[in-house]
Amino acid sequence: MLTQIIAQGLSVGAVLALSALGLTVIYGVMGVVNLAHGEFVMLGAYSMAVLSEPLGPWAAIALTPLIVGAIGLVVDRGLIRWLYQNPVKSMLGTFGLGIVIRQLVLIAEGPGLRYVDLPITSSVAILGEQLPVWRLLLIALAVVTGVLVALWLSRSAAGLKVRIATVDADVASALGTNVSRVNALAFGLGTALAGLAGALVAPLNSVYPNMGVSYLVGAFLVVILAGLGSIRNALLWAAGVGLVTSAVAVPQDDVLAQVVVWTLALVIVALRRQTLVVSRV
Amino acid sequence: MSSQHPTRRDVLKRAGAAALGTTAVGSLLSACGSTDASTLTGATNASSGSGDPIKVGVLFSLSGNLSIAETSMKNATMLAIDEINARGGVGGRKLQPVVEDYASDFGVVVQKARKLVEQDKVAAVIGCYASASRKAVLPVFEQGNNVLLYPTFYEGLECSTNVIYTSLVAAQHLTDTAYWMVRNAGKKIYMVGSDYVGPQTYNAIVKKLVEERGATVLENRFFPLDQTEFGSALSAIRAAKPDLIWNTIVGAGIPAFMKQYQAAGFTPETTPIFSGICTEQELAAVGGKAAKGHYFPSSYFMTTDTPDNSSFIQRYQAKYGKDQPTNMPMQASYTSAYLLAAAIEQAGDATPEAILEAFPGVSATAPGEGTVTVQDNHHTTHTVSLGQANDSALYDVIERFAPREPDPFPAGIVPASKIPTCPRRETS
Repeated sequence: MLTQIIAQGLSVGAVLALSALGLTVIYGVMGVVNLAHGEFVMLGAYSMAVLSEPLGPWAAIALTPLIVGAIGLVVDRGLIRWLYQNPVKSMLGTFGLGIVIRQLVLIAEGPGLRYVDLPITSSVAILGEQLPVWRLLLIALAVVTGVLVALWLSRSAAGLKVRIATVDADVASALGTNVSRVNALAFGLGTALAGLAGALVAPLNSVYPNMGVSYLVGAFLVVILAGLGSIRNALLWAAGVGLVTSAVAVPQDDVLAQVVVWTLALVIVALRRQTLVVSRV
Repeated sequence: MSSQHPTRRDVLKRAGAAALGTTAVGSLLSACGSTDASTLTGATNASSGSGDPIKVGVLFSLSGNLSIAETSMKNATMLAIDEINARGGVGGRKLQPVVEDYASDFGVVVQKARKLVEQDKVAAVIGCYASASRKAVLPVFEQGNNVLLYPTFYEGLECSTNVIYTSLVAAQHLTDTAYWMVRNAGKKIYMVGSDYVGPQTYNAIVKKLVEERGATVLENRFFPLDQTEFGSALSAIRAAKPDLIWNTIVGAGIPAFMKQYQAAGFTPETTPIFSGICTEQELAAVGGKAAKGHYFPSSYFMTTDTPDNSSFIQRYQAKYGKDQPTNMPMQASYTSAYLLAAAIEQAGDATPEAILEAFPGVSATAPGEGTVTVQDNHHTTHTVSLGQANDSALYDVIERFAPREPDPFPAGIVPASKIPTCPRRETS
């Protein structure tokens, strides 16, 4: 049972990590609290639903972050850029954005559940337990993505600009960085990560317009615990939340698991001196 | 940064324009009514002179989350009404449908029911899907002395004087299947379901039935309605080693559960799933790969190969689209219109009181099923079959059970002292 708990916990954590990563990049870089983040996960799931049959699942998974990231760029230019560095305004703005996206998808696709084919339905025996291969893939992809994003931020020129802009936007623009463009890039990246999460969960679940809400809540939980801006922390805390959830849910039930997770989160946050720890990206 | 900030004047201007725009659009939209174009205005009370049409309310969700299930129910009702009118109506009077959309909202359903009963003064209403919608409108029908024909399978524990339950009630739905699964699949049963009264009652009934045949229920695990992550439950199921799963998860959880079930390595050969709430509609979202081999009992399957079912499907698809699926709730909605017509014919009078009096004993032919008859307890006899999913996400009929009478208060679920005489007033 322990292997099941760990594998299950890590796969839940993987999805949390991908959504939390996007959220933390967006806040870390441009100070926007993106309450529509769950909707980008949902858009990723729908992109997978629409593309995986004609193009095959792997092409669909590769394309989805690009598509959702592109939508993110458009949204950034159209709405988000009025909301930079303003948490309250951005919450209101993105809350409305979330409603608009949900309704547009509802109108375009209808309220019914969409089916996405699970590309790998087999399971593999590890340490005496049967583990679904797809979930293992999810974990691997989350880790790889997290590492790639961290490397990009720390090693590439664009990443450097993003980090400077995070620390001090005025200094960055004085140094010649187009801060507005950096913000757009960050929003595109953040939403692309959300879209990837959506594409990966779509085959395991159901795809419907309101599915994004629970991903937003989970992502926020991880971001609050991990602190905004640190990718490594986001990955670790996502894994932690996933493991605690499954440690309670497997022997008991999922509702109790939620109670335990949120109570622990409250205690941890209460014991810290700051509510929201902000660290360097 | 300050150049990027809009001034107060800009914001107020923009906000003002937006507010004006929204009000204009909003009033435009509300001016378009929600009633179907086929309703006539200025029509008379249902019980007035011969030749005048009989108004029949049709109350389903045509928008919102539940519309995916209920639109076909409204369509099937309209098909039946058109057919009845084409052969001359009832006693020379045509049926005039008054269609209302309650938009998957259990507050709106009360308003719309009230409108149909008090303003339109319909002779009867065919409608509602989720038990919550039926419960919400019970007072409207009981206090308004009107009739609701309820065409959805449900958990029972009710028998209103003003409702005719034209689809399956839980014990009637599940009894033969419960015995079948113990006989053929095994004696160790793991139960899962969504956490509200419908699945809870279904599970309690099946538990009693299987225990009668010597089976054991290993666990009865309920999930919140929005849960789509079942990994932990599947780990628990694996540890419990059941022979079969009894499943009353509803909605978005069904595809999630069944796909994750397959991905976790469970097969229908070793551990089949028997579902209580999984028509062809839910199965389409599961997909043939994950659905194949699992079971569902129903009074209607689209694959039933009889001339009357083929004709029904053909007529429905001719009117509503070539690939439109058919399933139990819409078949029951269709049959409800015929039951209503028969009751009005029997009563010789199209007032709700007369219709209610006439109902017990009234029969109609349900396509792909057979004759259904309304009983004194306001429920209907039905013939249930057990279906097994194939790789097209449809059910093949593998066994047809004998017709069963409906019992909304099965012994052993409700204490004997609490079993009422049916029908009774449910609201005061």
